[in-house]
Amino acid sequence: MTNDYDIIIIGSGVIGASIAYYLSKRPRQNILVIDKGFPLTGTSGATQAWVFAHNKTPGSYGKLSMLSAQLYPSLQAEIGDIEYKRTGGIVPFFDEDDWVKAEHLVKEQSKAGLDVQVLNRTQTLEKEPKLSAKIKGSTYSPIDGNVNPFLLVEKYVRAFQRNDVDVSFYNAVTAIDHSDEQVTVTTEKGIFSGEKIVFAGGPWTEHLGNMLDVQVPVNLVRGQILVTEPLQPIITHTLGGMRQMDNGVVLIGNSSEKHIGLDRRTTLDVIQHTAKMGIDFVPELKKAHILRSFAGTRLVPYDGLPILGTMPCMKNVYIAAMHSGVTLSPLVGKVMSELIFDGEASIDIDGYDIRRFNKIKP
Amino acid sequence: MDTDLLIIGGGPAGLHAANTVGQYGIRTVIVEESNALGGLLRQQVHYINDLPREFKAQTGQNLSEYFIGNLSDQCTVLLNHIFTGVYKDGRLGIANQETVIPIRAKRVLIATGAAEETMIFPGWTLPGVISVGAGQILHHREGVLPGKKAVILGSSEPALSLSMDLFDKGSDVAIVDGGSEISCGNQQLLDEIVTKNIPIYFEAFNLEALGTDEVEKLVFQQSSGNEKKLETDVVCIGGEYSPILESFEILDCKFTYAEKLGGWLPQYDHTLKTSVNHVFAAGNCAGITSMSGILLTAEIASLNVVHELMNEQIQEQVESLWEELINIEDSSFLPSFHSRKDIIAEAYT
Repeated sequence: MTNDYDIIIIGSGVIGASIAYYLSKRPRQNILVIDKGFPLTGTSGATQAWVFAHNKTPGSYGKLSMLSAQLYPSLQAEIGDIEYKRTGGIVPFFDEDDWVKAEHLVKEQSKAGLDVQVLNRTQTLEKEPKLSAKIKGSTYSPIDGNVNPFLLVEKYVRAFQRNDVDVSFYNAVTAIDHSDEQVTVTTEKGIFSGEKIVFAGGPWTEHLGNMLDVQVPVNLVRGQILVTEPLQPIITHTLGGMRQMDNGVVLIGNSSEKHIGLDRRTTLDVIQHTAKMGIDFVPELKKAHILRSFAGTRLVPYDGLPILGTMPCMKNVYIAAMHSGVTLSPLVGKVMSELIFDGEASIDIDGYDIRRFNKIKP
Repeated sequence: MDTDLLIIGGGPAGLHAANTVGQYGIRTVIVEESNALGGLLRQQVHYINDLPREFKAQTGQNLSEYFIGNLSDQCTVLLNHIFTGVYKDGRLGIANQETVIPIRAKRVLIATGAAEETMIFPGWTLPGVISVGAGQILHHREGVLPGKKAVILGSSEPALSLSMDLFDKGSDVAIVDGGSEISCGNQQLLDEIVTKNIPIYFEAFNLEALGTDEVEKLVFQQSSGNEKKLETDVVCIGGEYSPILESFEILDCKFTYAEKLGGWLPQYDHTLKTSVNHVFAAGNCAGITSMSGILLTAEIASLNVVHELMNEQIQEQVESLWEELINIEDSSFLPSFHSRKDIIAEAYT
């Protein structure tokens, strides 16, 4: 392993690993992936892993999510089985007032080209018979689905390692120095230099930005997820709040706690609240045992939208920081590799440049 | 509910800790998952010879009764309850089948013990294929002979001990081991096995349990190339024991890897305190497997709780307990002694 690289990617979660994979398909690149832990020890290993587009607004963001979902089948053909399933997504609602919001969502998303429908109770229960009869209706889209995040990241890593990408895991970055020609990355295990560097550290991206005196405008939230014992097939769609895995386990979670930092403990308050939500959605779950719970630290840019592009005044320092990294993973890997290798992305991502925050207060 | 010390696990470590702090008037709650206190002591009918100085040699069942009889009225016992999580305000959630009870505790002692690991082979789910621990419970606690033609898998001390007991009750017994020599270090027990001509099959592999409604045969191959078929009505799997760590995970304690003590273990210092300030560990879940070690660590941890809560001077007592533990381990459990020294050293780095 030399210490000089064309590209250094910091972070090997669903975003860093995807960028490394798409870049590794390009010719003659010396690429290094650094991670403070091991792939899947962070946020990418603590998710329900929905591939979900239909409720992402504005429409342009919904479309970005849809384009990414559409890449999953070909990605799966390339890197191997990642248990990607286009189950269709249902977001039920319990309040009559939500009809208006649902119809507004459908209008906005269809303008952007997404197939989203409002279903009444009967139509929803036809698709998902175990849902509570108390629901008033739902929004539905056939584009939504889910993936196995462990397989996804593992297959990315195997694929880019086959393409000769170097890795340095369990190695935290301690300092970054930047000039127009070169970036020097100081780590616990040595100093590396690269022509280009990519920040894909998920919740740690803010910390990386600080090393270059750039404020990355993101908040951290904690999401707690419950894991049931393996059950007979009970739900077939990806619901806004839960999904059933191939092995029968149901994952339940819709919590979002602010001001927790990187604390990944679970709390009984949220576990109990989440369990109640699960039963409200699917009453039969009352009989299920909860085997365990886990929490993930999610990153939310101030305006909720992805940050993609270069860092301010640094044309060789790139950033990819976002919520819903699993949904966006294939597309972000593809467009960031285009931006880094070709100098231009195949779709317009100017709206996701970090410089937009100059106008936005937290 | 409020308490001074919440003890998770009502086995030997938890009970001895409750009694130790009970002498100082400290309020305790013992949370026990099963329907009775005592843990592994409940099925120990043999004399335990390696007890700490303060105890005379006695059976596990006797010791358990002694501990339970000595519990003070400051001690609340919650049977059939499990520790499931922590509330935001720091209270611990103790669940039964109906509800979750929030308990505020000044200190927590985790004494969850260890769990038997199984071996998985074709037919291992047939009725009649059980663990050595289950065999001991049936035989010693419930008074039921597990089978008349027993096959014991493995040659650890519990496996050999059960073999002897079943043989003495008139069962046919055979021991089948994947290794090439006995793993039990108890020479006396070994001599008895040899004297009684209990057959031992070494280097067995490709195990398979056969039977229609229950286990009838155990088939395996030996390195010599022979296939062996034993008629049986009970197969007892003598697996390794692994520390039960979930409570440490929920409380966010740091872990360390100590192969000689059973793998992943909580980090702790010389007071048996974990990386979390109000949480202590003792006994098997801290990688301590000898009965003397289990009881001594429980006492050391609980005396340190007494020191923290009551400001009692316990230094000399604790030092002499460590000395006793070191003497015992130095003579018979040297690898675990050194491994534990490493864990404690790590807590100070």
